[in-house]
Amino acid sequence: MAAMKRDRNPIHYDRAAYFYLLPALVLLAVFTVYPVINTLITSVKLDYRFLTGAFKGFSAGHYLEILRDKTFQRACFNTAFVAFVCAPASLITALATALLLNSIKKFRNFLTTLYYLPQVTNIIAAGMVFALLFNTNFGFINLVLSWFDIDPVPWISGVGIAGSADLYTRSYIRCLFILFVYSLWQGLSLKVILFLSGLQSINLQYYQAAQIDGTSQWNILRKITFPLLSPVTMYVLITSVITALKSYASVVALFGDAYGPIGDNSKMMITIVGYIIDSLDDYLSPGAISKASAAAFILLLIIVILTAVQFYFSKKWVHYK
Amino acid sequence: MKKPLVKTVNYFLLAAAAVMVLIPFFWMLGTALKSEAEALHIPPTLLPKTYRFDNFAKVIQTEPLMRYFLNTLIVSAFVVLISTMITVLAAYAFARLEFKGKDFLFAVVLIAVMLPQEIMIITNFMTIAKLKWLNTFRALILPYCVNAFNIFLLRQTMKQIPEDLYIAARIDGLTNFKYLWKVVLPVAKPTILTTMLLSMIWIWDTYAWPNLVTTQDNLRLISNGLKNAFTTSTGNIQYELQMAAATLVTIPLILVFVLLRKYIFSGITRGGMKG
Amino acid sequence: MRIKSAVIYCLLVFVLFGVISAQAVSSEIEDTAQKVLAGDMPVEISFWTGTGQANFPYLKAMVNAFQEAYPNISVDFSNQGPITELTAKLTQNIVSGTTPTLSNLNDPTFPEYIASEAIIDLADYFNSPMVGFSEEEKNDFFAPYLAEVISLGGEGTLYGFPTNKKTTDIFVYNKTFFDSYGWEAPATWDQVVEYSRLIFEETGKPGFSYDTSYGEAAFKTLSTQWGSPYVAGTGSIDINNQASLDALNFYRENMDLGYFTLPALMPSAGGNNSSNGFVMEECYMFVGAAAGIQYAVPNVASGHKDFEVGIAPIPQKDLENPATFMKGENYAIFSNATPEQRVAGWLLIKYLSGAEQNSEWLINTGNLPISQSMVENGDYQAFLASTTDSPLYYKASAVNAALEMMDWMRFDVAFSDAGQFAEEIGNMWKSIMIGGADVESTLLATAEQFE
Repeated sequence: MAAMKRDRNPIHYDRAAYFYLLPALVLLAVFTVYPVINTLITSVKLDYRFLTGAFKGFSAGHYLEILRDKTFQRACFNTAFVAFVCAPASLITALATALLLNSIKKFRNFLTTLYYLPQVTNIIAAGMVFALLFNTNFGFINLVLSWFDIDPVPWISGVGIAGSADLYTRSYIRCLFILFVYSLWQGLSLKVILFLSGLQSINLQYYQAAQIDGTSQWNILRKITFPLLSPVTMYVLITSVITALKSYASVVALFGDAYGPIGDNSKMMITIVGYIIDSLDDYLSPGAISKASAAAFILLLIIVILTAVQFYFSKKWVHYK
Repeated sequence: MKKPLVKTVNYFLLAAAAVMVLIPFFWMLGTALKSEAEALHIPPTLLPKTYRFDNFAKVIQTEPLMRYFLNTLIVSAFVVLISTMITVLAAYAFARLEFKGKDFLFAVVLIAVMLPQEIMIITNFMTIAKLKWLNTFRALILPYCVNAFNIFLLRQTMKQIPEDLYIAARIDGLTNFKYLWKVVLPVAKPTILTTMLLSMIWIWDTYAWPNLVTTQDNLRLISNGLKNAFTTSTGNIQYELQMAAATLVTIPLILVFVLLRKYIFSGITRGGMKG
Repeated sequence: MRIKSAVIYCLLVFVLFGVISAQAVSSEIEDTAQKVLAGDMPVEISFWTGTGQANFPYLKAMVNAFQEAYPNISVDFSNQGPITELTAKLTQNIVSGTTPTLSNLNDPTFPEYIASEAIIDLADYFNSPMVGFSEEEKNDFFAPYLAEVISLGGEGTLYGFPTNKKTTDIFVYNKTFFDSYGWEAPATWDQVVEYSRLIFEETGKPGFSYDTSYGEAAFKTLSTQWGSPYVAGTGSIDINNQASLDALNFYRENMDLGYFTLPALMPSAGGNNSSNGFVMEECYMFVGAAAGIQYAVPNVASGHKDFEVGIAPIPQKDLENPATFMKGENYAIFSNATPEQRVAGWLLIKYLSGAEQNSEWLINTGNLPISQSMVENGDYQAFLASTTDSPLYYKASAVNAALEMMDWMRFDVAFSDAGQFAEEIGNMWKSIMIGGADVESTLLATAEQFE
């Protein structure tokens, strides 16, 4: 029926659609599509000088240089950590929290509101607060540890790390931990609400039927809740992985412009976007902007490929009604 | 028999999570109320010995924070207004209308969702500069007026409105615009409010762009004021003032959120359902 | 070879003045200047600076006074935040052709700006009979400052002009502690080490710390004192040498012994400034920016330790051959400006370099005077003579210490990678001293990066 209706006068529909889309498309073209194309072109310019716009021909050299760069590999690893460790962890925590919230009545709205607060907090303010929380001397975390007679932990410390691989690893793990905690805190908010509403939209009849059959709680979760929740899970996973791949502000707010503790010369906590910004910072050197553009394009490719992969796998395990 | 125990454990776990979420806010507010000496005391004090509300006054006096607030308010008001109109129209077209190139254009929107803003910033600066729009509110507002994610979110919501309703409306002779106005908008209201809040958060958090396109103090936005504030010229951080400023910046959005909470929650969930 | 370059530059400056003055001064500038000075032609200029919020009002007051003195010139004056942000914005605006008339610039920015003709040569304005400086006024400026701006574009040019935002590093010590042992401020590093050893044995705490807020400062100053060229006059980097290695090893060995430290390692300091640790007696001497002296004075009410602070010139490796570096920005006028704006911009620069109008600014900000007459100004003399009971005492002592070092001053040679180089040197220093990296291989790796 519907298809027939549409086929009768498609041309009429077309015109209206373009009118509706026009403002959005114009702005997207100017502020998104054009910059991306421009980035692609800049990325292959050789010795591009920002001030004069002069360059010496085209080359893929910047891409090769980046892929060989140790700092870029580090950036990829850290970004992967946020995307594939922090994001899933916060997803699981959010799911657990939502399940708990769904099992209670009192305070549910209140707690949901409370969990959402990090989402409406200014990123820079939140980063400042976290840096202070983990401050070795003035921080809350070490204060709490001191109640249990634990010595202050130098959370963000680079002492000796350039001379000892062991100390480096330990310092790195502490920094990853801080990033993990921050991501958990920041990411929980939106996901809890999405999962909670997903849970509430599950038809109660399924549960009642299961209870009559005497199915165990765990099996109810496994056989009914998780499959019915899978579209929401998929949505949350994709959006949070994309957000994670773009992470930058949090790292700078936590670890500073040098992306690591003082004494570290390896940009320990740099992310891919951080790598782009770092190259941009050097804009007066010939070629720097092209390098940044190339890195930006590599990131874009990574994001598109990962999203495609997630969509592909989602077809296999997401349960649509 | 087991029920009360399970319930207690549930509540306990939820309360623990709530405490975790609140700790940063607690530490922010606590430090904001400490004196300079107390903020630098080792080991730190859990609660301020004396509550120094002066810190807030000091922050407002030493930094033109109020000016930044006002600017942020002006910019977010315009962005919310314009971008909502643009988003609603575009989302409606993607959700309900058929036209050539729809898949392609929607793919463009999806890719735009994934792009980090940082990639675009240099080219966009040149565009704004060529338009001679530096140091204008236009430069602060226009690039934020299209938000691919909001288009995506709203399209998801609109798709959930039964198609039969649309067909019936067309048969009744309702134009697309009337249908959008009379039927779609009321149903999509929570999601629209959500996109509004998301736009507002976006403006509230934005840092790099306004810093680049404004060179005059009286056009700066709130994040710019916060980032470099209260670090002395030699780099010593005045923690108590920094935290007082962070508190002041955080409160308005929390207020807006708490007021609109009901709509926002249902808006987020509607947009998020169905892949 | 690199002996007493300050003296050489003094001579150089005198010779250059001759060369510059001998050139035919453009009559166009004189014509335009006449129109602007006549007072009935409105000129609008914009002036960007990058300064701390606390200091900004004093600068603003000077600009306002300028506008009163030249009612036909209106100045759109704005603060662009830290110098890195200011530079980023200037660069962007050069590309888009929307630069201000004039701005502060730091040295590493000049070469690329000059190469792309974004800024103009000020020599003709400097020498102009109508708006320039007289011979007497020219000689009034401290030689190293003028030598620096001449070096930017080479002999016969003047692409920058010294701002009133000049400062340098100074040596700060715990005077009460020193007095109790009958010690004087150390003049050489050998003495610093000796005192630090005694302090360490006595208190278990390190004696000395070097600020890292300008990451390259410690390595630059020490290696130069030890005899390394650092950056040669033509802008070629020369750090891979024995003197650099010796300087690094000197500091590193004293770190390992516990005699020396760095801000990041002091519990109360953290970050890049020693002062917060110094006021808690976590170290007893440090080298840091003269502009930050107020943070090194303990405030007992805030829980700091109770002691008096002493300020002295920076210790030296060889007193026969002293070296220290000046810091601070220079003005530049952009090519975008119209001839009238250029003249008006220059008049503003000239006004902001005057002795009378600067005393308020210098006294309150602790920046250094750039000319003899600024020092001799009555109000300023009163400030320099402040006694311990005056709230300005420490600022004045810092300036006095800096003025004592005026003959030792070197400037940073400007070259196009200078910004990145300074950053990498800073990373190298922290990586060796805090991160514990191997001295020789790290120095080599850093040097190779810039070959």
